[in-house]
Amino acid sequence: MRFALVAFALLAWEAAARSGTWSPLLFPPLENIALELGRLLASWDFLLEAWVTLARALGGFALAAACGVLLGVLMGRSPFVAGLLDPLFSGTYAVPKLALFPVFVFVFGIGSLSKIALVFLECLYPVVIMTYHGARDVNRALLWAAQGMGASHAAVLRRVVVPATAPFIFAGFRVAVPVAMIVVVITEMVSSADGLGYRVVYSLSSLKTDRMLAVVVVIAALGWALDRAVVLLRDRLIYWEKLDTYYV
Amino acid sequence: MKSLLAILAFAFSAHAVAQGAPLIRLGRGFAAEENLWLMSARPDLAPNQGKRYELKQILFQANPERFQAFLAGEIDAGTAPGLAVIFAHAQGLDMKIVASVSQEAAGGQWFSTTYMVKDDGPIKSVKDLKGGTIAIVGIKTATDLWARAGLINAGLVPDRDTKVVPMSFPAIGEAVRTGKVSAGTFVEPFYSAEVAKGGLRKLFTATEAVGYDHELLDIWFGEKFLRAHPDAVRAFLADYVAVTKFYLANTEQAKRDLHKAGFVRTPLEIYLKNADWKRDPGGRVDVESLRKLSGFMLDKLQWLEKPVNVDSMVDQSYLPRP
Amino acid sequence: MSRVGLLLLALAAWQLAAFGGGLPSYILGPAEILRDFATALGSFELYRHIGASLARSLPGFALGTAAGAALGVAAGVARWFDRMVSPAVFLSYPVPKIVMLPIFMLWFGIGDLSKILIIALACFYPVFINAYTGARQTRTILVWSALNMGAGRARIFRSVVLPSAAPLIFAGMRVSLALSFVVMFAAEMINARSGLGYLIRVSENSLRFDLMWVSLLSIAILGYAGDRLVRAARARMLGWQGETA
Repeated sequence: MRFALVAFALLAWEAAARSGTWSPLLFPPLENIALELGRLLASWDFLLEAWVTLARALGGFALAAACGVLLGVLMGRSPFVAGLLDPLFSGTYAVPKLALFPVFVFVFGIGSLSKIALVFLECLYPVVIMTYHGARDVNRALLWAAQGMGASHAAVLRRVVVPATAPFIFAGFRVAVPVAMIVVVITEMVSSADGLGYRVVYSLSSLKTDRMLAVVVVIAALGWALDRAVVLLRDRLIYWEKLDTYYV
Repeated sequence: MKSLLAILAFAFSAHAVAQGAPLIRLGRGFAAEENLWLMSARPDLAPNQGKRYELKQILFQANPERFQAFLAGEIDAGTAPGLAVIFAHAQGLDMKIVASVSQEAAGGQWFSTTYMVKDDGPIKSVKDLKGGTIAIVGIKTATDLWARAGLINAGLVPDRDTKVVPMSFPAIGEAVRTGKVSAGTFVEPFYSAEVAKGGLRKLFTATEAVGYDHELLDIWFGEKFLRAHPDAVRAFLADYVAVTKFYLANTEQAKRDLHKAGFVRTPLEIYLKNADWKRDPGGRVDVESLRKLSGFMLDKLQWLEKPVNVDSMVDQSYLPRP
Repeated sequence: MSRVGLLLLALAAWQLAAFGGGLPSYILGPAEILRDFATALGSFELYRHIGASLARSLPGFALGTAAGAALGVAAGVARWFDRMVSPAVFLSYPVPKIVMLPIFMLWFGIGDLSKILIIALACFYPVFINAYTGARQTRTILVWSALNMGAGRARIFRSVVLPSAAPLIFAGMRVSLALSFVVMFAAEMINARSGLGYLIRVSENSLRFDLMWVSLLSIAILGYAGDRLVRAARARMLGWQGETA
């Protein structure tokens, strides 16, 4: 019952593919797609290429996570830093940084670096904004209690601020991780010689739509798996609160 | 009364003709297709236009999009490298080559697509491309095939030893100079512009890479359109051959007209001096070269899964009798 | 003062670098960019591309957010609908929607329709998720009070649930708006014949860096203005709530 909608969509697809109204290039039958998927997963070259995409996404994300949490906590605890950086972030938030990609390519070349740089820039925002919110609104009672017990600045930060902010940090991660995948795939579709995004464009140019859809399935699966990983990690590390809203 | 009927009859038939002239939506590129573009730049040279057919040329950046547009039913015909049509046909697209636009040929008087590297760079022969990148214009297009042919001739494995990256023509010159890529594809008018700037050196040409003169660009039509409007196609091709003959006889004037109509962006002085590709005055297709190319695609490139019957893919019956 | 201080400092440093000739050919100084932008504003070209881009992103945004809000609230309120729709949405959420673009192009042609639909698809998710959460989080006590006062289902929905979910819906809309620009831009970079994304790609390819920076600036302005508009609309409609972000 849960997957009724998905099952229905798949059935509709198969019906359309078999009806003969459209060319099999427009609506490849599911078994063709499944066949191509099998071929791809059995190919070492493809798996390496998938790894390239994943590495770019994770690399950029990791950098953004590290810098973002740092900046966010700083902004949350220091009104001066917040006053300096908040206008910068909220002002440029709505600007599509993807537009800067051509410049990145000029600066970093057409390899992985330009892509990782853009991923970093795009992932930075959700992490910083969410962390900032969380760090700013740490419950005063907790802070006073810790200071009352004689905790040092560093200890307060470590034992009170970070744990209190953690749910927000992970909410930020949960937004940033799909963004990382999206940015990598887009940049690979636009300008690349390897990676999953390139494979999509390559298959389309070769008119192998069944293979293209198989690659899309792989991308979707990866995106989904990464999200699950973040949730799992969060549930492991933060047992005291679950923040399920995605965006504040 | 009679005159009224005559006027009505005229109006009716004119309306019918205007309604009836089939529209050919043709996907064009932006290099080596001068004799085709001239049909739109100088409609006075194409007498059947507007009467037996209407022509709308739609610009595409690279070839793969053209085939996708055809698949989506948005264009009826287009130009494409002959080999790309073979490839598309093998994938199930129902199209036929009906005429030739330009050819890659050896010989000083004709231009052949050239692959160049930085003059003062470390690459002296094709073998030195190992570990580098070569810029082409579109995946599974002619520029892709020639690049791979060139690499294979030097004993390199494309994608493994040398990466093949798609890029647009104008960006390739800068990319080679700044070292973004090791080598790049150059066609007119970009070739002359880059040679004028200096700093680049020829590595090999398309004809050398493949080893024989062959079809560069051909006109293809979707089979459905051919069956539905054979007369329109014949009229179109009759005009096309006439325009081609005019182009070959009055190249400079034709180039001026094309430049004025906006088909070419290169500065006029450079464009006029460009060497041109070989063009068959009758638009005849060199089918033998296509057969050889298809063999190459099957054996060496693995672009084809099984042999393709090239003869069934080329239909020159729509061309006017010479 | 400190708000714009950092920005002004950065701009000044950038302009100084331009004067000193320290910038590579593809990065222009702010003064030059502004000059080119002013010139572009005078010609028709820029407006044509802006119009083309907006003609894709706005309908896509409107379609996606309307569908997302409607379906999200419905799923938050009706359990059976929730069971049917939510698993599919949450399953496909982490998937980069842009990968559907080539497929959409094959189905809907290479014109605007495929792009509008993919923008709508991308905009759907943030609003759906937020509307869903917002509707579900309607404070029970408010619902009980309304029931107590004799309100019917429809009235409760209109006067309790919707206002309760509204802040989150607006937050989702802000994200969707930013997303609509990104997806529009990406779609135009990949395949289009007009629009700001196309302009950037073509100018980059022809090494016309002036045009490239002008379209960058245009899209930045559009994004910022759009965001401000949504915030203003939110302030208008949700006067009783304080500003959260």
